[in-house]
Formats: sequence, structure tokens, C-alpha cells
Amino acid sequence: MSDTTYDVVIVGAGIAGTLIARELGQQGKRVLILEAGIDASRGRERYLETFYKNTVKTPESPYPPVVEKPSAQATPRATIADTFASNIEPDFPGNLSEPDGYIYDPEKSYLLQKGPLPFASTYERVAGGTTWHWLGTSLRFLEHDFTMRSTYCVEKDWPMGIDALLPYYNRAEAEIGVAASAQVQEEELGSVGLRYAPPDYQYPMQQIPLSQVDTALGDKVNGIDDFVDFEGLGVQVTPTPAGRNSQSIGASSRRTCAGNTNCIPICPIQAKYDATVTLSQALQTGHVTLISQAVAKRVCVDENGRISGIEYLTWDGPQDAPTITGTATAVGKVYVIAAHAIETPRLLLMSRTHDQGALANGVANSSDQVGRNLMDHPLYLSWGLMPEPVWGFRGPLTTSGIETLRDGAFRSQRAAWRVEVGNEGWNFSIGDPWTTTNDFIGGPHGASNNSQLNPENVQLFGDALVARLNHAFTRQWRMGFLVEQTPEPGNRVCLSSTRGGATLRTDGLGLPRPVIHYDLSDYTKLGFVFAEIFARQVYQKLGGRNYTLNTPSFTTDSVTVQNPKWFALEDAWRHYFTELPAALKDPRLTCQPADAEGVPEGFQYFGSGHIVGTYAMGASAADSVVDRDQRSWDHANLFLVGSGVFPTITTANPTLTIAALALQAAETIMQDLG
Amino acid sequence: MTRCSRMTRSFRLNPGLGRLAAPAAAFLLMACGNPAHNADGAPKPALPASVDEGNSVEIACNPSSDVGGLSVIVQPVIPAVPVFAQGTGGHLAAAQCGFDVFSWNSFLALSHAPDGSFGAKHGDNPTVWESWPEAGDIFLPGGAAPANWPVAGTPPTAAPPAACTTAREPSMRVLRQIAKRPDVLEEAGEPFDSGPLIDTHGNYARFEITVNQDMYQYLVTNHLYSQAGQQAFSDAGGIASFPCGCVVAKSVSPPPDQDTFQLVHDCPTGTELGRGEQGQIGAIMVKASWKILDTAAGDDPASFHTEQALVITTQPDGTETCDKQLVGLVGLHIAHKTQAAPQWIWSTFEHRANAPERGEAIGDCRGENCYNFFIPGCEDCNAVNIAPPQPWNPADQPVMADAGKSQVMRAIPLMDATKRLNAAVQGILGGTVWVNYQLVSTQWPTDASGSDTTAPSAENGWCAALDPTDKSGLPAPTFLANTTLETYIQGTVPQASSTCINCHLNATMTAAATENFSDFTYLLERAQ
Amino acid sequence: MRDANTTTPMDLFIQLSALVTGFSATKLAPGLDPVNLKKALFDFAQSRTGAVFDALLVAFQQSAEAEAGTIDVSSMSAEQRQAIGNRVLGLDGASQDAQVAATAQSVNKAWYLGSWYQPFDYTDGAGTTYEAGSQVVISSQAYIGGLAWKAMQSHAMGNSTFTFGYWASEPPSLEAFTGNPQPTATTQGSTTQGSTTQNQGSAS
Repeated sequence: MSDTTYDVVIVGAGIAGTLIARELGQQGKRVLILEAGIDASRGRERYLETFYKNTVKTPESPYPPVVEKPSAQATPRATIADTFASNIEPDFPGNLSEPDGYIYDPEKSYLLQKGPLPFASTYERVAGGTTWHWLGTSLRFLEHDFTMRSTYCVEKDWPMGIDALLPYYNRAEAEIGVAASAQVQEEELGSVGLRYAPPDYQYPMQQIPLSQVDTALGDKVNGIDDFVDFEGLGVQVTPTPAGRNSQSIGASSRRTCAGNTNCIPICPIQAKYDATVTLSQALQTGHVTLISQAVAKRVCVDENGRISGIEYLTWDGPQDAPTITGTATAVGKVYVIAAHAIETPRLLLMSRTHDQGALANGVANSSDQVGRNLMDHPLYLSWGLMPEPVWGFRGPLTTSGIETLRDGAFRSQRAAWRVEVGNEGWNFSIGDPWTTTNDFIGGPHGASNNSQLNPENVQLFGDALVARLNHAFTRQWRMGFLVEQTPEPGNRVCLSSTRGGATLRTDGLGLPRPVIHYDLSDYTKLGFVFAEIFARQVYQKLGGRNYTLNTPSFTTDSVTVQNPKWFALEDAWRHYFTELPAALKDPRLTCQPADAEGVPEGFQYFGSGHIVGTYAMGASAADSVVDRDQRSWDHANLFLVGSGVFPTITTANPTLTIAALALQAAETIMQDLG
Repeated sequence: MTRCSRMTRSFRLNPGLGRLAAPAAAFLLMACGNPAHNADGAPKPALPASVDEGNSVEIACNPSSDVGGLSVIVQPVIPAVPVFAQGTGGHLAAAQCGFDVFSWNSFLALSHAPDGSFGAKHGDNPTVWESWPEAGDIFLPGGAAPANWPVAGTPPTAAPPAACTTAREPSMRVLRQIAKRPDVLEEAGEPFDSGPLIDTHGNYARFEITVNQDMYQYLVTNHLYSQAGQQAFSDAGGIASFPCGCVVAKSVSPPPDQDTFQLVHDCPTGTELGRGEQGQIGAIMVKASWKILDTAAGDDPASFHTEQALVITTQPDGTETCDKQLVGLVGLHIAHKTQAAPQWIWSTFEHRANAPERGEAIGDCRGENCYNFFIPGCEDCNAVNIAPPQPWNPADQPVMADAGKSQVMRAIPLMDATKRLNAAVQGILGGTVWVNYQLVSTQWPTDASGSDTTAPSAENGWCAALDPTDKSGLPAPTFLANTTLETYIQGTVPQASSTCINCHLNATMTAAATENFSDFTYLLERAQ
Repeated sequence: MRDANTTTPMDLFIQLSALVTGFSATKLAPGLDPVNLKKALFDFAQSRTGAVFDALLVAFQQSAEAEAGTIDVSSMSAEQRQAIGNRVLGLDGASQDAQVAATAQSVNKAWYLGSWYQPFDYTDGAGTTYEAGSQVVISSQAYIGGLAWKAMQSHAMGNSTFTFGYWASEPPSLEAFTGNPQPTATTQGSTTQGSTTQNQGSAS
């Protein structure tokens, strides 16, 4: 393989990598894609069967490796299972100051989490990438998302404004196949900075119908603009544009959504777009080669600072005991790294030279920003019961959101968020229907009111069981607040090493694993405060009840350990709650635990699955890794793509913008190749 | 020996069979009474001499009794509904047997020539379903309206594409489909769903779909042949619902056991179904898979049903080429919507030499001419039941390298009862090419309507309702695949592995509408 | 089909399941049953509990005959079903073997969730040990056929049995899913069934 020269070598067969490969392949350019994981992209029997048989239906549940043993495996990655309570180190958080002290047991968790808070999002390493398990949400960023510094004096500006991206958003929506009505979106969200061009732009397919949950919520909150602490900001439940077929029309031959309610972790019928669609198109050009089970381990740089090759290992055999079958160097004229926002900085850092030269800090890292500014949308999950049935667990996992609170003057003070309305009852929140079913069948045996719906540990069977479960499940619903995290240089991806007396930890191929330093800023945490205040008012207007548990600690077998994904409420912020009207301190409306005044002890967060910022674009080489074309400042023939280039995470799910920017990068690369 | 006397010899009438006996007797009366004249007395043109016509075999579907078997008969009347052996209500294997007999009777009737003959062309014949309109005849460029299909008249067919300079003769196929669900923009070389089927000689298999008059008329009447028509239909509140096969209940004594498949609902009179029955045949759609017959490479046309075809291939630059080729039938789906099966009844047949069963001992044959889609002893073939590697370029065929061909095995073996049934039926087909075909199985809904007891009526096409809690109607068998049509999705994983009803439950129209379910057919998405 | 004179273990299993789940026997074990979940669950439960499974079926039969003179749950009154269930699950103050009661719960969970929750430590004939509290998905069909999804008037996550747009409308009634008429529920759970303090020697 080292004697085949390609025009372009791409690391990673996810949405960004495959889009670029396809664009270039269609122009007759010779492209090589190196994919670390397996290629099972031609069907989904294997992944689906794994999913059905998995006892925990996490986002990673269909995909290999199924049980994490990161030190032994070929392509381990971050998973939700890594962060289960059983994996929390017993002396957390005190152990974090020790060289080998991590939040989660390093034998179980691929990411070596130094904290103080854990990074909670996950990804996949297989052909097709993380789009296998993405939700499908395809939102555009808002106008001010690109100008946070100039508009609100916080965070950073992007090196381009929204107008530059509009034509690429159109193309990305066509590629992915996004279902929405531009007219509805503009009517409801033009005022917060949603933009389309040309004015008569149409999405490829009709908007996905709203669910019963959506309409029940909208009936009570639409048009209301006098929420306490949100005065003047209108509230509207808006259908969510999604990469999910809603009509059998146009280029897609995939099926229309049947509401399998399983987008995460896998759409059984591929109604939801995933990058294997684009991968197949890329391969069909005849100019794109995919080598799977090929892990890039080093980016090689020549004496002129140009990338000269990518060294990679090929592996085979079982995940847990892989055999390295060869090493080679992929050579091209232009190189693209599209390995998502943890593996890409990992590769760049692994490529450092062990000298004092320009590459001592890794490839493309003269700014020292590679791996830094790691961001997520920390998710505030708020769940409750509607007073009447809304029949969740039906339809796609989400069909609407409240987007009108994503922008406003408040952004100079605290994080904005979007509200994702969940159609899956309390599945995400507490693992239903398993939890509540166990509560009521088991009664006092084994389970103990994990759902909070069985405080008396009643044990039921027969008609009474059916009725009780029906009553609960049909009223369950939840909101997810995707809170905007700020870019912080101290939130970063490093490499495991022996520095400071730590133990070097590698994966099953001998490559150093990522070390994560991560925290939430006050700006972001304050966003949670306002999310809770908003949520209470929603429950109040609905006449429903809040069941949100912000669990500060876990107790298993009489051992209590702090919940790492939890932070205490700052004393300075108590007043936000004490100053609320009395009605909003009602324990039926507040999250728990909270004191008699309804002041929460703290907040629990989840990952949204959004990994962003670790090789950000910017206006200058001094403080960014790539320019606005996603070209490395340091190496003219190196492009870094994916959500790692985002200087800020904004309030929208990243995938549509990843796709738009990838299409832009493909144009630039075509110009380079001539 | 006349046709009539041969039939009398081989057909055993059994008074206990209830409704089967009556129509069979009526057919005999019709055919034997006046074979040389039409019903109006005009002399019929002399038919070519049929082969195997009228042959029949008894099938014992009732495991607990000698009485109450069913028959597979070589005759041209398409059954409107299945019949079941007496006393088999609630017995899964006996019901499956009844559906399988229905499948064979349907296949044999559809495999007759439009003129009623069978095997008259050196043991082969053009078929009834080949005379029906093909998808390309219905969903025309620009959404143009296809012609009406006059009652008892010639079905309309569109002209072949400009690339074809050869004239299109009757029953000549026009084959452009490379994979089961091509893009509307197939001309641009867009990719396929699960992959093309490439035979042992490196040629791409071709696919086509035809529909019967009841289905065609519904499409045309409701303007479902175009996107604009489908949108207008939806906007007016229309929900696609094809008519169901049904037979007007006759005054025969019902069988003693509750037989849940015999609805006693009404059915429109006035349409002669043949065999003295009145009712309607219901919608039928047929999907065929064809293999290019390469005699130089060793294909033997005598062991296939063959036709001439205009085979259309898209070149890499987007242009089309059209070649007249001899093709052999390797797979046939028959989907028939009936009153008691609003999820349709799905019968699938294959050429008996398509592929070995997984786990079956292969035998001594080696090389490319043992099976249509499997090379025993192949050293560097593709992995079994995995699509050949991309890019797929039908302009570049035959594919020379074994690694570029499909290497297919049947993942779910035929049921033993089906194998016995096939052997029995093949025993009466020895004089025709049709002996080379076997039933794989029949998928049918075990609980079509659940709690919805809405009666069939003119408003709903004379169909029972779909169970609102599970519109699949809990099909039996749970999974079913044809190795030529669902090659790469054979298996038993829910949603991913092939099952006719569950997959077709996901079919929708092109229209923007909340209710755009297209009644189990993917044809409607071809509208332009 | 059931011969009126011979009650098989499968008959007992079906009726016991109908009783504890609250779903009709014709939904759990339809006359035409291509999926045959009843057999999959029967075999699995027996393989993980051995003689206790047989004892559970006997306990159900005895209680049903004593209480209602029949094992046919569809012909019983609500009071009879309650009494039998309380007895089998050890909720009525009379003594019931803890493992039998726990196995009845596991059978109920198996129907509802498609997962087997091991009710007590058990070592089978081949020497494999199953730990109490361990959990395994019985099969993909058991998962997608789980009753919890029907109790919520929906479908298993990952296996829709409906068509595009269905979620915009209300679902069919609960009765349509269970095959039984439904009483209205209270939010506190029934107070007429069993007692929360009954703890006949916890099995787990």
C-alpha cells in the first residue's frame, strides 16, 4: 500500500470524511479512506441483533466492542457504560490529585478522566462513524452563534459569519435528506437569528409530524412570553428538522420513518441518515478506496512542513485480542483528518517528535490549541408526568424542541440552551420501561422504588399491574436542555504518558489512550439554573409533576460514592430560587433534592453526544489550529474537519454544521488539487 | 386424447371438500361441455397443444385425517382466495399448507399463456403476468397518465426507451432494474440498496414488477401514477387501499370447525372469476428476477422459462445502451391482497438450481454451472451472502473475477412440508419448463385484524381491517427471503432480515402527508 | 389445542402467565403462533430454575382448582384471580415457598421485558451457575414481544408495528393491546392487592 499514491488520504469514515471522499471521487480524484474500526456498513443485521440482545440499550449498545476492555482492544472508545456508577473509583474525588488517579476505573473506561468533572459524551469507531447512533437532529446555527464575542463579549467569534455557511447548509440538508418546512422554521425562529437563502428555500422533504407529547406541551406554552426570568422571550414548540426520511421522494431509496423510537442507538430500517449512505456513494464513484481496520498512528511531516504520509496499523482478529497484521504509510497530495474530536487530536499529539523542534507538541500544533477547548452540550434532563396520557414511546425519539430561547441579551451573562422534547417517556431518564416494571412487579423484593413511582413498594400483578404501568408510561415525558458550554483551554485531550509518575496506559494496539481534563464554567452552570427555573414553569402550566432527580451520590452495597456528573449549586446563586414566586417552590414542581425553599442541592448532567472544539478554527495562527477553510495553519496540505473545528459549540446539535463545513472543505481541496 | 378426458382421469372429486369441489366441478362442466366454442357460441380459435394441462395432485393438509386434502391443478383460473382443509382451524402447519397450495395454484395459473395454453412452446410459454403492465409502463416520465386498461382488452405497455432500436414484441421484457429498489435517478448511476445480484458467469441479474388489472385500475383511477396525482389524492384525504380478492359465499355447509380464514362477508357480484365463481380477484403484483442466459458459458435455456428481453444498462457517462438478450426466470414473488389478508399473501418461487442451502451437503459438482448463483469449490469467491465489492458497474459485464460475483446460499432452509409439496407438484409438470421451479414459502398474516372487526365493504375494497395494534398481522413464517430478490438480507434478525410483510409495511407514497402509507407496495414511490 | 381432559405444563404456564401479567391467554398464546414466545419463555424459565419451575406450575394449579375449580383464567372473577395470584406470589399471609414466589415474579418480568431476571442462585445440570439478580435478554423476539410496550399502547423501541405518522394520533385502546377489559387505575397503585409488608423470606 505504500507504493500507491493517492490524491487525498482521509483518516475516518464518518460523515465528514465520507462527504469529502464522495465529492472528490465524483471529480475523478483518487481517494483513500483509512477507517480504524470494522466495516459492517452493507447491512445492519449484526448491529441490530447485538442491540436486541444487549441488556442495556445505551447509544453504543449495537457497536463493537460490546464490553469495554480498553487496554486490550483494537478500537476502544468512550461509552456510556464507561461511566456507570460501578466504575467510579472508590476514592473519587480525592484520588484525582494522584498521578494514576482518574474518575473511572481505567480498566473499564477508555478515556482517562482527570476531571474535576467527567466528559460525558461518546462516539463510535466503525465505518459510518457516530452517525450510526446520532439522533438525526439537523439544526442550523443562529446568526449570533457565529459572533458571540462581538455580540455578547463572551466566548469567541467564528472566523466567518452565518452568510458564508448558508449555501453549504442547503447542500448539507440535501445530502443528509433533512425533513422540515423552511416556512415554519422561519416564521417561528427568524426572530432568534435562523436564516435561509434564497428566500424561497425548501427542504427536501416534508416536516416530520408532531407527536402527542409535542402538541400537549405546545397547547400550554406556545405564544407565552411572560415566563418568570424569561420576560419578553417568546416560547414556541417548533418541529425539529431531522435527517430522517418523511417521504419516499427524491434521490433517497431508503425507507420512510416508521417511528421505531430507536434513532439512538440504531434506526432498524435506515430511515435515519447515516454516513454509510455517503460511503456507499463514495465507493460507487470507483475512485475511492476504503481500508477498514486501519488505525492511523502517526502523521509524517517532511522538512518543508508538508505532510508526507500517514502511518497506520492494520489489525484483525477479535476486538479483545487483536493481531496487528501490518504497518504501512498512506501517501497523498492532500491529507484530511476526520477522526472526530477526540481521536483527531490524539493522532496529532501522537505524531509529536521527541525533540525540541516544531513538532515537539504534535503535528499542526504551533498554537498549542490541539486537544484544547473540548466542549459538549452538558444536558440537563428534566422529566415528569403529564396529568393526562400523552402516549410517549412512540414516533422518532424527538420531533420538536423549544428553540426560541437559544438567543438573547442574556447570553452575555449565562449559557443559552435549546430544549429537546423527548418522545421516549422516561427511557433516557431512568431506563424505562425496565425500571418501573421492576418496581411494580418486584415491590419490596430487590428493586426499591428506582422510578420514584412506587414509594410504598407495592407489589402488583394482573389487571392492577397493567393499569398502573399504563397510567405511568402513557404520562411520562422529558425535556433535555442542551446547555452551551464555553471553550476553555484547560478542558483538553492529552495523551497518557509517564509524566509525573503516572502509568502509561495504551489500547490493545499499543497506542497511548486519551487523558481528559474537563470542567464546566460558571457561565455554563448558570445555564442549568435557568433551565430548572424554566422547567418548573412548564410543569406548572401543564398541571404536571416534576420527577427530576439530580442525584448527588450513588450507594451500592452500602458503599456511597459521589456522582461525578454532578455539581453543587453555588451559594451566590441561591437567590435565583429563593426569589421565585411561592408557587414555583412547590416540591411537586421542583427537581430533587431541594430544600424547603425549593433551592436545589445541585445539578446532574449527561452528555449530549456532541464532541467539539479540540482543533478549532480561527482568524489567526496564534490561537487556532485551522483557518476558516479548515486548513492547518502549520501544514498547507493538511485539513482537519469535523466538529473539532468549531470555536464554540452554540446551542445546536453539530452534525448539520459538520456536513456543511465538510462540503466547504471539499471545495477548497478540489481547488488545491486543480 | 382430449384435455377434458385427461382431467377427468386425474382429478378426484371429494364431496367433503365443500367449496373446492363446486368450482372444480363447474370448471369441468365449462371446459368439458363445449371446448370448441366461447361462452357466446362463437368458435374459439384452435389453441396450441398444451402440455401437462389439467394435471393435478392431492395434498394432505390436514394432519389428523385422510379426508379434507387440497389439490394443486394445472389450469388457468387464478384463485381469488385460498381454501383450507376441513377441520384445520387454529393449526399452524395445516394453515401454512393451505397457503402453500394457494401459492402453487396461483403460480401455475399465472404461468399459463394469456391464450390459456400451457407449455405449448416446446414446453415453455409466455405467461399471463408477463402480459401485465410493468412498472415502467405505469410510472411514466413527467408523471404522464398511462392508458386505461379496457376490460378484457390488451394491457397497455409503453414504448421501450429510445436507446432500443429493436422493436418490442409481445411478451418481450424491457429490463432496466439492476437491484430491487433502484433510484428514480438510476440513469445517474446512483448506488443501490443492498447490492446487485451477479451470477456465476459474471452477469447482472435483472428485475421487474408487473401488476394485474385490479391493481392497475386502482392506480389509474386514483391518479397514483404521478407525484402530483398522489399529492392530490392525499390532500383529498385518500389513503391507498387496493381491492381485495373475495368470492361470493356460496350456500354450502360450513365445515364443522371454526375456520378463521373463511370470512362470510359479502363480495361484489357481477364479475366472473372463472370456475363459476363470482367476486373479484383483488390486487396482484408480481416481481420477477431474470438471469442472462449465456449459452457459451454453459447456461442451458431448456431448463428455464425464457424470454427475449431488451436489457437496458446505464453507462458511466449516463447514457443508456439497449441489448436484446435471452433471459431465464430465476425468481418470482407473487403478492395477492385478499379479503382475509389485507397484509397481502406473499408467495415466492425460485429456480431450483439457484443456490444450495446452508448446511446442505454440496455434492460433487464444481464450477460455474452447478448453481445459478453459487460456485462450489471456489477459491477466491466473495464471502457468502455479502454483496460484491463496490463499485458496481453494470456497463462492465460479464464480471470476470470470482471475487466480483455473488456467492449465495439459502440461509433459512425450506420447510420439510414445502419440500414434499414441491416434489409432488413437480411430479405433474414433467412435460414443461415449469418443473424447474419450486415454492420457497408463503407468508401470510396469522391475525390480520386483531380487535378491529370493521366489515369488508365497497368503501374499503372489500378488505378486512389491519390490526391497529400491530399492522403486520403477525406473519407466518416470521422471516422469508428469496435468494435472488433478498439475497443479502436473509436471516432472522427482526427488522433487518427479510420478511415480506414487515418490510412492505414501511412502504409509503411520494406525497407529503401524515398518512402516506401505500398499502404494502413500494411501486408508488416510482411516480415522477 | 387443549384437550379438555389433559392439562399440560404448557397449559398451566399460559394460564399462570395470563394471571400474573393481566394479558389474555389468547394474546400470550394465540392459536396460530409463528413466533411461539410461550415456548421460548417456558423453556428458558425451566432451564434456569429447574424443579422450582415445576413447583410453581403445581402451586398455580392447586390454588386455581381450589379457588375457582378451573385453571382457565378468562372464566375467573377478579376476586378469584387476585386470591390465586396472592397465593402464588406469597402475598396473602399463607406460607409460600420463597423461590416459587420469586420465580413467579421472574416469569412476569420475562413476559413484560423479554429479559430473564434470575430469581435465586441456581446451578443447572451442566454445572452452569446463575446468580440471583443477574439479568439476560432471552431473545430478540422476546424483547420485541415484551408486554410492557403493549401496556403503554405502543411497540418495542426498535420494532415499530405501525406506519409513518402514526405518532401524531392517539393509539388504539389499551384493551385492544391486552385482550382484556381494563379497570381504571389510581396513581398510588392498587391497595387491594397484596400487602407491601409481606416479605416471606426474601429470595434475592
